[in-house]
Amino acid sequence: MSESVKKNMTTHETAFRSEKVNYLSTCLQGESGTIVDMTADAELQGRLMGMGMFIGTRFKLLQGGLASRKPILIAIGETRIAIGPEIAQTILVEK
Amino acid sequence: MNEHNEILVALVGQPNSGKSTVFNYLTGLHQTIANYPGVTVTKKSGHYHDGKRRIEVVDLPGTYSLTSYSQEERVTRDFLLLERPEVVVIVVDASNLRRHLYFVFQLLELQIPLVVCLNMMDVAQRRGIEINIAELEQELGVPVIPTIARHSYFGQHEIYKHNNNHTQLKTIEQHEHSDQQQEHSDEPDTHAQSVQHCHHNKIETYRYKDYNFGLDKLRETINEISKHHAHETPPIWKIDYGKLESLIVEFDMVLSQKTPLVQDFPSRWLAIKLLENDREARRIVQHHTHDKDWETLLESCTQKITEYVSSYNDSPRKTIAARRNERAEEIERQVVLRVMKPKRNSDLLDRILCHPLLGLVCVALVMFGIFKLAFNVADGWEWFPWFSEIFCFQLTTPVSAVDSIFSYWIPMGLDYCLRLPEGDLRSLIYDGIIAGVGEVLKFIPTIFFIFLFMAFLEQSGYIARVVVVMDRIMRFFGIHGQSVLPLILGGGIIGGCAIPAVMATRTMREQRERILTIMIIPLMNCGAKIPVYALLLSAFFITHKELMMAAIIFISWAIALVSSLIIGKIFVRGKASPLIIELPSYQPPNFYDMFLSAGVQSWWFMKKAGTIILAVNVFLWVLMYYPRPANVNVSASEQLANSYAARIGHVIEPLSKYVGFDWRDNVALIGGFIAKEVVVSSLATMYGIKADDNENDKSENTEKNILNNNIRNENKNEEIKNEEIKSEIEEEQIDSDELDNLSKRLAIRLRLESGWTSLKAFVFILFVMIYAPCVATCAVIWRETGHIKYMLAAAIYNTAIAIIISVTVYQMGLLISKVVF
Repeated sequence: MSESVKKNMTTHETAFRSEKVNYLSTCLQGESGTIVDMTADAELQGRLMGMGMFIGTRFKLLQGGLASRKPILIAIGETRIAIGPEIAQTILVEK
Repeated sequence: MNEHNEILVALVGQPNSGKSTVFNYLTGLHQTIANYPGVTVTKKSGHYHDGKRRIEVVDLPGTYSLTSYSQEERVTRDFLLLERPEVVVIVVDASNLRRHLYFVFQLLELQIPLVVCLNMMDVAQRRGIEINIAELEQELGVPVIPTIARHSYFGQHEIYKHNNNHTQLKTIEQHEHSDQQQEHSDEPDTHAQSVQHCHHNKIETYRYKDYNFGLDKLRETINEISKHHAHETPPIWKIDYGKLESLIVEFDMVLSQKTPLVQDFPSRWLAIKLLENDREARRIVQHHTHDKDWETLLESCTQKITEYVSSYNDSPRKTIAARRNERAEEIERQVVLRVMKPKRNSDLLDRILCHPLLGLVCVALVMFGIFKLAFNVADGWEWFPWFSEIFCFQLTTPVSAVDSIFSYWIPMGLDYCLRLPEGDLRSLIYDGIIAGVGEVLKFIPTIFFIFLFMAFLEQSGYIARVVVVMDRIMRFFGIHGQSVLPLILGGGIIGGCAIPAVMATRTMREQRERILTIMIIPLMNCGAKIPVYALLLSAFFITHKELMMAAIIFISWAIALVSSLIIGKIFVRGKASPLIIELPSYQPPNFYDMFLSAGVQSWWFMKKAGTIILAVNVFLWVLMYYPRPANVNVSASEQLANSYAARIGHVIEPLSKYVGFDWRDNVALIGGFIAKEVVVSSLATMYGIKADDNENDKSENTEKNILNNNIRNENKNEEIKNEEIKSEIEEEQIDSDELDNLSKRLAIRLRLESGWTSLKAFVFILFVMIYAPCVATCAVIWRETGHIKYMLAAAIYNTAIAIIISVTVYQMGLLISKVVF
């Protein structure tokens, strides 16, 4: 894969224009929001999508959050997912 | 041909969709477990008969999608495309339809004969979800079979319950439908609407009556599809990818002209994959086109992607995912009717069970409980105490029953029938084969019960919570939160068995972490190492026994975790996979599944590992038994002293003296390779102490008396201090049953005989803890990972660090004692 494609694929400059947009890892417990972008590699994204995390999906943070090093628990519809803090840092959300 | 008599059915689905329950229902006990060639992914397959036809079912690993590059996903995709199963059953969680539809689409695009098994209808119902199956069938273009696999064995009760609920649900639904009809009444197509409505109601009745027979219906459908579609390719199912569609069509056209390629892979699917920039798809194009133009094709694809990105500011991969998701949403909106608000009360439970501190306490309690329960049921609690009173044989626990059958009943029976004379053949049959088979079968009760409780933990959904809680701690050492359970089963607390522990890693998804866990399990203190510790601790560390035991547990964990870091760096490379895990909703256990899983795992062990263990046992028997002494009346210890094993012991003595071991200790340790249980008895034989329990042999009895007298005489001549030690040892042991008579005397002998010091005892304990896992464990590691290299690595690495650590400790100890005294 050429570098230019890679670069462009993870474009999320536009997303940052809104102040409400931030990484999932900065959310607080109990907060809900919408996923705006994902910057993880394709493999991880495929897995997250398989679990129901798409751009535009609404979620609620059940546990963890705000720069904690613990895994965080999120609710997406009927699904409950635990993700490591390093992945939470690749998901952009809008509160 | 096999088209008529043998049908290949593949079972796919996301984790937690109840796939394995469906698999268990379809195949029952006819299951085999193997590895896919070249990878560590476990392949579960089974079969059932439908009339004359044999239906082979392969349970493919649970995956969330087919987009990524994990081993499981590649295995799944390759199996579907290359093995060409006649029917592919995708198990879908009805209570979470949208997410599962996303996966269904990926399979539909593969153009394979698909059946959707809409499982967990009961959960859906509890969550207030109603699904119009006819409409779903229409949307997907494939048969949809609603099932409740979990209750297929307790069906009657459930039917009743559903019928009761049904009246209420149906009224709401009909109400909604009449609303819909009113809305659309101005449309000219009212006729079609009412037809659909009728159809819907028909389905409705079918649904509630036959839920529980859904699995039988699934069998029927499999049968039908395999008959009808044997020679047809299924119709192309398409999602409209919107602005990307023109590009997909373009590549589809190009690819469909590459004949060798489209024979194996559907061109539209490949086109989509290429635009997703899928590494595997690119590899497929590269390897399956004969002419050289694949480079230009891939080049133009990359170029098109770049153009797309710059013009839409969105990657094709994201467009594809978004479109699939939208389509899933559309279908869900169309076919799913929410009759009440979903309730989910497991969130509260998760607050406790996933809590960083409380969760840790829960994990500790549950792990300890499961461990205690499994090992006590198998070989702790006396189930039939009256048995030993009546028959005087150890049949009290399942393990001791197996043991006594092979060490007493079968030899006695053989004696009665065959009257084999003393000699090579007798020894081969008795000490080599029967003892070897007994050695294998002795593991069965433990494996069975551990897997029974493991299945319970897995089904309940708690395992995922364990992973979450333990992840932070274990991640530091490069292993997975899920590794905790196997490590504890392998002897993480004290006592356990490495074999079920290695097998228990099957539930782990990440291959790298799984292999790492398998490699460090043998370092735990399994039940067979405990007698060695008990012997040496009571001989040399009487006053600090408990403290020393705690130290041993600590040391073994420290070595295991550090080893995990080392092995992760040099042997099993790759970066640790980050944590993403779904927390399934809590489920009550299904006893049929639990017992089936335990039975299948035990059978696997007997068949796959048992044969290797038996062969090595016989080989080691040869080492210990030959050459035969010329004089028949030679005692066992003298015979062993002349055996090949002893010669090996002598050969490595110059090296082992750095650790303080002489040739006798070496022989005991070589014997310990068969099973660590052998170490104590070999030591006893080598140091000239005979077992005295229920020996019928007169000569051995006299020998024992002489030995006893020897000990007594020795003791008389010893200083009073030694007398004290002896009485101390004996007193210590009288109330505890840890050591039998043999070990007690051995403890005294070792303590009083020159050559054994506390330092040597400690080093011996360390060595036994770390060195090569027993034959049975090696066999299981080999079978489980599918590579002999992992087995060799486990054996060689462990022995190497055992030597390094023992030498260091021994030499340091000698140095310190020289300086101090």
